[in-house]
Amino acid sequence: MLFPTLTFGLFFLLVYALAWGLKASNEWRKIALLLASWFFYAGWDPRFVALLIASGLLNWGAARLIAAEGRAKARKAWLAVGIAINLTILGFFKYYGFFMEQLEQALHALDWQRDLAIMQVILPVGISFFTFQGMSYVIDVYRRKAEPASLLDMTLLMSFFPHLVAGPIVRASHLIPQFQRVPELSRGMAATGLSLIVWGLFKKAVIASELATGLVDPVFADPSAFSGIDLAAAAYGYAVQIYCDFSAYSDMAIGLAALLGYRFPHNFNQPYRAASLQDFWRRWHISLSSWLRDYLYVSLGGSRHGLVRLCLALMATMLLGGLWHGASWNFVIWGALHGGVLAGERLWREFRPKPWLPLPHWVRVAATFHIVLLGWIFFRAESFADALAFLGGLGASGAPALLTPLLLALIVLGMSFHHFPPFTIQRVAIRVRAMPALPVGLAAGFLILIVDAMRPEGVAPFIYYQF
Amino acid sequence: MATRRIDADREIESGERPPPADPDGLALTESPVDLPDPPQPLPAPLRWTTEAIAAAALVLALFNATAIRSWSYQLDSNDVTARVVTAAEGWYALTDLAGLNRPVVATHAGWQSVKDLRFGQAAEQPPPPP
Repeated sequence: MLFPTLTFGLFFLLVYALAWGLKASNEWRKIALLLASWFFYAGWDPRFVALLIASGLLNWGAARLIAAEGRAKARKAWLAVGIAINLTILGFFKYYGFFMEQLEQALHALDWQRDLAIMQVILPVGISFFTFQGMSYVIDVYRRKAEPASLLDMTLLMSFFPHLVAGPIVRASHLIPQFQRVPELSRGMAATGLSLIVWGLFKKAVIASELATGLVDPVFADPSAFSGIDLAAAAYGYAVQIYCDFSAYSDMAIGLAALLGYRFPHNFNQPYRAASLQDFWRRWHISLSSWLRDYLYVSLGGSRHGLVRLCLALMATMLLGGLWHGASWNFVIWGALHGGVLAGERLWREFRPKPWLPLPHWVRVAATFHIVLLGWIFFRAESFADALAFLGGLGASGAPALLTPLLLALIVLGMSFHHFPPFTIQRVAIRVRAMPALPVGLAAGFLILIVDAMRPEGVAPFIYYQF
Repeated sequence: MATRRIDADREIESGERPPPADPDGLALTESPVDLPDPPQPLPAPLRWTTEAIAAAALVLALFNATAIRSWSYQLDSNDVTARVVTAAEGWYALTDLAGLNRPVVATHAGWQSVKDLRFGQAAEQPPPPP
């Protein structure tokens, strides 16, 4: 069930009516939301609802055992069990096939001629998101940053449909306290929610879909068939597409949750205006980057053990961040590029000769964006060889075959979003909340109508569904 | 709703001037749906939201019967969905008779002509056959 579809629209209208109709009883409201979330998830594959429930139960149990235990060693042991359970679930569904293929190749290199019997494992949608959410809950309870939650709150935290399949990764300390009281809706929340939903629909259905079908997908499928101009346009196009696709999902998730009375955290903040890679990671997929910082980078020592350890921690964090996206060498290279540049930036800050002036701000913004762009080529290409073929083809002469005025305009428009004044949506919402409901609804309806008339046939899944 | 500012310094890289005080009182808070309190309380938020959603749904139902009809044909075929298809067809015929589908058709055609624009020499060549 994809957000920008009529099926989801009808589903949401029903959930909205049910959730506010049950306002008198918070427990029944949460039960209704939990059942609706499982129904939403069953739309992909009903079998994996059991996995979602089991994962919620195991994390709830591990956290209860940690909280009930007074001895430090035993608490640590239960924490290890909790993390191991999550990593086992993630590892089996996401990395089993990859590691078995690597093992088979290694055995073949050692003259082992027989093939391994490798099971075909179906990847449950959103597994990376809900296992990371479960892990953060168990770790927060261990660190005494979160109280152990009730089974209903914990399973709803992991299953809540707006963030279930592609984030944002909402932590227990943020959402559980909201579950514990009857949510209150303000006109500001509703106005921001509606604005984010319409804005997200435009970014996904018009910009991301048009760039994907008209330019990015055909060029990345066969880079050798296109000129350097098409390849460069596809690289910039992908940078815009992935932002418009993923941030659109986050915007819609935040907006939908707001209409149900819940506040989700930020996930994007104009990332391509970043003047360094460190700044980029404070603006891109904020819920993942802060997760990696708090639960991985800090656990690896962070900045507490000197510069060398810090650089190693950065590198390891970004390599694992790359692998979080999927089992592929291209994601490892993408993570290594980001980790290497982050470490380089840190070393440069420490050792930059004093007389050297910092580069102008716009040069640093452009340089950061192009490092990110290079990473996206590896991120998007099917294989390392494809990525190299793409980079090699950038110098190929010839007229553009796919680039059209509209696609160029969409790339420019998508880039311009990063240089809009901050809080543009919130400024719109401040005006909207003061208006009567009827014109607001009519405007929202007509804007959605225009978006629907502009979008290509069908709805492609969001890019981050595969992670 | 009271808003909590998040480490605003983190947002400012060296070389980028700190932003001036926001005229709308906006700041980076925990959630993008946190707005500063309005000058006067805005009454009946749930009713306001429900009316806005209902109005938007009504606009879409009236003017986007084409999408409703397409959606009905994509449903798995059974007795229930057969009735949905019949209803969607009937609704489409009714709204078409009233001319309510024309705005979407016109917008789609206009957008398609923008999509068909080409650069330079390619623009002078006839479009490929469908």
